Amino acid sequence: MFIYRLELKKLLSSAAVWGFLAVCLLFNLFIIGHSVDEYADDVGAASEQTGVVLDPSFYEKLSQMTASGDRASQHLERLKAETDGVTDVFDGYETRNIGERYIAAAGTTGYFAEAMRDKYAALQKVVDEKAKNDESLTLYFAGVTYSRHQFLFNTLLGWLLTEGALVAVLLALLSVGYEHIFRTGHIVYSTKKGRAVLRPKLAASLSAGLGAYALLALLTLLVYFGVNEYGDVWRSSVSSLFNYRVDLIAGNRPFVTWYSFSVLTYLLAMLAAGAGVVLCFSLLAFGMGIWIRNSYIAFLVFLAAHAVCIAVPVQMPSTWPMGPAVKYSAVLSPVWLWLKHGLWFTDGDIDILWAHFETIGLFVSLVVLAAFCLFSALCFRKRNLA
Amino acid sequence: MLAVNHVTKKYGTFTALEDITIEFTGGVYGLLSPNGSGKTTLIKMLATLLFPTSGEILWEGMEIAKLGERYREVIGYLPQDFGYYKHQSPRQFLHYLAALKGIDRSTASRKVPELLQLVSLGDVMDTKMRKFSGGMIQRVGIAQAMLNDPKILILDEPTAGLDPKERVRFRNLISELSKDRIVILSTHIVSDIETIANRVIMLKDRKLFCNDSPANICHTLSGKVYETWEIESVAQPHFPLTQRQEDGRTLVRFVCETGCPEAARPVTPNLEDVFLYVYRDQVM
Repeated sequence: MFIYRLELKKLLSSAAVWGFLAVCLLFNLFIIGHSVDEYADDVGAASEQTGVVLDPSFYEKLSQMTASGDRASQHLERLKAETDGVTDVFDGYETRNIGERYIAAAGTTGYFAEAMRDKYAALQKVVDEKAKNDESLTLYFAGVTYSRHQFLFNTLLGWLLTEGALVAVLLALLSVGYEHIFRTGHIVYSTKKGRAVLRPKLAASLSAGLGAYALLALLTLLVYFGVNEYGDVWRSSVSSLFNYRVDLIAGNRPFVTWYSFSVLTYLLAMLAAGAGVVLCFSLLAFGMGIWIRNSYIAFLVFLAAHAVCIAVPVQMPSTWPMGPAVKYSAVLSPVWLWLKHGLWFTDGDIDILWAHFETIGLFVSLVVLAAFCLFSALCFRKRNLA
Repeated sequence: MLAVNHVTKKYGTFTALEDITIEFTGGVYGLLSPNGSGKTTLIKMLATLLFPTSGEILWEGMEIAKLGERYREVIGYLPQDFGYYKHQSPRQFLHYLAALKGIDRSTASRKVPELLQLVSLGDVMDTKMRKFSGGMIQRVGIAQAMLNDPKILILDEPTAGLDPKERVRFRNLISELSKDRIVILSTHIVSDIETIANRVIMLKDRKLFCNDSPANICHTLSGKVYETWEIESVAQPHFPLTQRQEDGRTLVRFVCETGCPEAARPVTPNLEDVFLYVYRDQVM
C-alpha cells in the first residue's frame, strides 16, 4: 500500500498531466459556453412547478402559470403549444422494421441476420413495456430535447470520455515508463520488490486515470449544470416523446433504452460506463508500455493500433467469410465503444448486433485487457533488462 | 557464498560472456577489464537484470533466479548508468527505494539520514537532486545501495565521473563498507581497486582470464618489468607500458620477456602494468 501511494505520488507530481487536465477543462468550458439555451432554461424552471409527467395535473399547472416579460411569455406559449395534444410514441410502435432495414442495408445473412432480428424482437418487448407505462409522456426539454440531449450525452460526455481516456493513457504510460524516463530501472528492478513493482504501478495508474476522469467530469458537469437550468427535468425519462434519434438507414425514431432511465440515472450510467472505457484504455496502454519501453513510441503505437482497429472493420468487405464476424465483434472493443458512446444503453445501430453491447463490450474488454496486462507482466519477469 | 558456475551469456549470435566460473566469499572483488569486455553483463546477471543463457548463479547453494526476492533482499546495486529522480531530494528518493527494498518506514526514517550523513550528504538531504554534481549523485547511489545493509554489494563503474579527490574518498568509503560482506566492484580504472581489492578478477576475450589476489597477479610479471631513460638502447623485444617526464627526459616503463636489458633497471610490477600488458591487443 505504501509503494502504491508512492507510485501514485510520482504520477500526481507530473506537471504535464496537470497541464493537460487544465487544457481539457478550458476546452470544456469553451464548449459549455456555447450550450446556453434560454428556452431550455425556462422549460427547466417551469418543470419545477409542473412536474415532468405529461398527465392532467401537468396541463392544469401549466395553464395556471404566468410569465413576466416578452421572452418568458413567448417561451411559456411555446411550451404550451409543444406539449399540447401529445401522444405516447411507443403506442403501436414496431421495431421489427428497424432490424430488417439494417439487415438489408448491410447485406447480412445467416446467423448475423437472425441475431439482428432477435435483438429487435427483444426490443419490441421493451417498447411494449414502455408503452404500457406511458414512459414517453415526460417533458424532458420539450421542443429542444434533441439538441439538449445530444449536447450533454453525445458532445460533452463524448469529449469528457476522450479527455479521460487520453489522460488515463498518458498516466499509464508514464507509470510504466517512469523508470525508463529517469534511467532508474536497473535500481528499481534489482530491489527486493523488483519487477513486481508493476503491480502497484498498475494500481496507481488505474486509480490516477479514473481519478483524473472523475475530476474532469465533476468540474465540467458542475459548470454545465451551473449555467443550464435543469429544474425537475432530472426525473424526466430519456425515452421522452420529445427525444429521438436521427438514423440515416431506419429513419428518425424514438430514443429507446433497454432499461427505463431518467435523465439523472442515464447520466450516472453513462459516466459509469465511461469510467469502464477509461479503465480499458488504461489497461491497454499499461500492457503496451511494458513491451515498448519508450513511452512516446508506445503512445504512437497505441494510436496506430486504434486507427487499425477502426479501419479494419470498416474496410473489410461483408462478403469475406470472416467479414461480418470481425465487423460485429469489433464493436465490443474499447475504441468502438468510445466511438459509439452516444448509443450506449440503446439498441444501437447497423453495426451493433447484440443487446447491451456496451455492457458486453466492457466486460469482454476488461477481461481480455486484464489478461493482456497479466501476460505482459509475466513476460517482463523473465525479460533481460539490458 | 555467491557462485557463478559455467555461465555463458549470448545475445543472438553474439557471445558476451563464455563459461565464467567464479566464487565470491567475502571482501572486495575487483572486476577489472577494459570497456566492452563483459563486466557489466556479469554484474547485471548478479543483479538479476539479465539471465544466463547457460550455467547457473547460486547464492548459498540456491539458484538466484529461483530465490527471487529472497536473493534480491541481500544485494545492494549501484549501476554504471545511475539514474535518479531529479525533482526529488535524496531523502525522498531513498525512502522510495527503501520501500521497494522491503524496509519498514520507521527503520527507513532512521537509516536514510544515517546513510546520507555517512556519504557526506547530510547537509543537502532535502535539496532537489537536479542541483547535484556527478560526485554527489554517485554518493546518493552508494547510499541507496547500502540501504538494506546488503550481504552482497555490487558496484558497476562507481568512480565514473568523479574527480580525483572524490575517487579517494570513494575508495575509503568502500573500504569501510567492505567488512562482513561481499563487495564486487567493476572498473576499468586500476587505481580504483589496487589498494582495496582482496581479489582481482580479469576478463579477456569474453572469458575469465584470472581470479587472484593483486599480489599474485602482479607476480605474474615479476622480473619482466623495467624502467629506462634510454628506450632506444633496448635491443630486446619489449612492450612499452607507461612514460613519465622528468627534467626534460622521458622515463619509459616496459615489459621484456627475454631477459634483462643492460640499459634498464628492473622494477616491481604493479597492477597497472599487468592490466596494460594483458590487454595490450585491445583498444581501451
